[in-house]
Amino acid sequence: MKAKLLNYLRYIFVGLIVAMFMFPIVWVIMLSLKPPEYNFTIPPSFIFPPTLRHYWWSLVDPGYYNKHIYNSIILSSVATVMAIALSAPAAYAFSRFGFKLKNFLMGWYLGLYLAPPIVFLTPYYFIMKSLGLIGTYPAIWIAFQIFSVPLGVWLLKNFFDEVPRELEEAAMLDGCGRLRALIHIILPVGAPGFIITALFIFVFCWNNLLFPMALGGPEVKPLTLSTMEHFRMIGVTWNYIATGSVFIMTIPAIIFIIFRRYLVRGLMLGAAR
Amino acid sequence: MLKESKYPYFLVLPSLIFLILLTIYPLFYALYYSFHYWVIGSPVIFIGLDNYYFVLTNPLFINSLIITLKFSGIVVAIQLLLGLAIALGVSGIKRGQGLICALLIMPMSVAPVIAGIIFRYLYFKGTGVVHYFLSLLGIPLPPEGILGNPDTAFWGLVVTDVWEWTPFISLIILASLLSVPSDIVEAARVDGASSVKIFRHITLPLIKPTLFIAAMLRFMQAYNTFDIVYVETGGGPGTTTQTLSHYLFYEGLVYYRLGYASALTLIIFLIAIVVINIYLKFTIFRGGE
Repeated sequence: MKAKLLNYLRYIFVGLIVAMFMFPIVWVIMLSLKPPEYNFTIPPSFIFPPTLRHYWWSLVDPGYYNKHIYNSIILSSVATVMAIALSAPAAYAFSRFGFKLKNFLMGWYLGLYLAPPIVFLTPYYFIMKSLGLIGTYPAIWIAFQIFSVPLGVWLLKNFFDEVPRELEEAAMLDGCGRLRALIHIILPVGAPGFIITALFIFVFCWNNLLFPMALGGPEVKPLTLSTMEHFRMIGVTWNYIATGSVFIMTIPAIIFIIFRRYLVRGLMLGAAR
Repeated sequence: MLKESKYPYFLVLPSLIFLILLTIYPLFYALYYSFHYWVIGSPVIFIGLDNYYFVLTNPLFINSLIITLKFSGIVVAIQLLLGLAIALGVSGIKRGQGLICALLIMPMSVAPVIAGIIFRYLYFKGTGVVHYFLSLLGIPLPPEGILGNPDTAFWGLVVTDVWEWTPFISLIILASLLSVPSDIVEAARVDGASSVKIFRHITLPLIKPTLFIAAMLRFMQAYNTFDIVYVETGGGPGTTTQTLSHYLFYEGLVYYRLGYASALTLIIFLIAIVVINIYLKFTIFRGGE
């Protein structure tokens, strides 16, 4: 009897917690569907005639966010490809070889992932400025690598660790070179790892505000930045903030939910066992 | 033909060169200008260590440092306790655990800047849901609004961070809880140990390393907090919620006090290095392994 009661309490507690953590997300989705006159009411409006016109404004006429969605995709996907290309060889080395500087380098990569991005920002701004890159895609692609490469190295290393060494050793005994073993054995087996790592890096670039804000310009403005720009006014702009927020949340939420098992383990960088 | 022993260095090299250019070079750049007086448009004048002296004696710096450390300490403490409570709650649920985990992952997928904007909307005086329900419960709120008052603005930011990251911590702890071998727990139960005793003497020691690492990780991320401060309070009212990142952003890229900002950069970085090294000590450099 007591155990049963305890169990009910447990369900109520967890239910309440989940509801509380979901509420802000539900609320912003509701805001994106509200007619503007329901935005700022006392008490807040939970019931209202839903409308899609803010989405229409955002995506169709005039399609205000289209350009920014495009920019976000270009910024994040190219940065992701760069990061994977740079980090995959290093991750493979960390996974398969023992060498003198290994621990030091792995610590250094991990430290960079944890370091405050802001400390690199002012120097980047002036370096990019002297290179004439401010307001262009490459400035942001390059800056994104500061956290993307360390993240990529660590996530990929974890995936490589799970591919049995025996596979490539067998291939090498059969006369394959290490490179051929890598391409024919490791890459196919490790493909899901590459995809998951790439998607996580993509999300971190996609959600980033600081670097595009400091190094970007009107032509390369991503969705995070353009959504934020509306927020000092009260009125219909809050509905546009809401649609922008919904667009920004959707991709990361889908990716994180599908691959949550890897996320929890993967982001405990350096502590994964 | 490369020798096998050279392979790893060859493989690490591309990313290493790239990251050295992205880190060491900017830091030397900051180091150089930290010894100079330089405001945008002004001549660059060597002034030795003066910038460091100016930073370390500036009440605004001390203020941001204290706020950042206080913020980080408080959010980590709340997230650990609440995360542990949630993980313990979820771990005993047999059906629907997958769905609960899927929902719990949602907040951390929200970009921090968007989390800040959403909470700004929730905090609006009278019309914001949080403000409305808190006043409905009879909790006294400052007349200038949640984000307009120094104390409540600070807690407003804390709640935002707790909302965004507690579920992540709880999922980490849950994974650790589920890996506690059930036969040990069963054996203790057969011997007549109470649930509380089992938790204190078996479960807690086993998940302690995870708790510690999660706390360090979150502390470091909280130390870097910028986005939510930028959109929710702008460091205000006044400078009462100014974190170090926010302070540096303004000194460097808004006021362009570049010599001063360079010294500030290195000081913020040095503090981070200390914390990061503690983290590394307990993760990849764990003694004896």
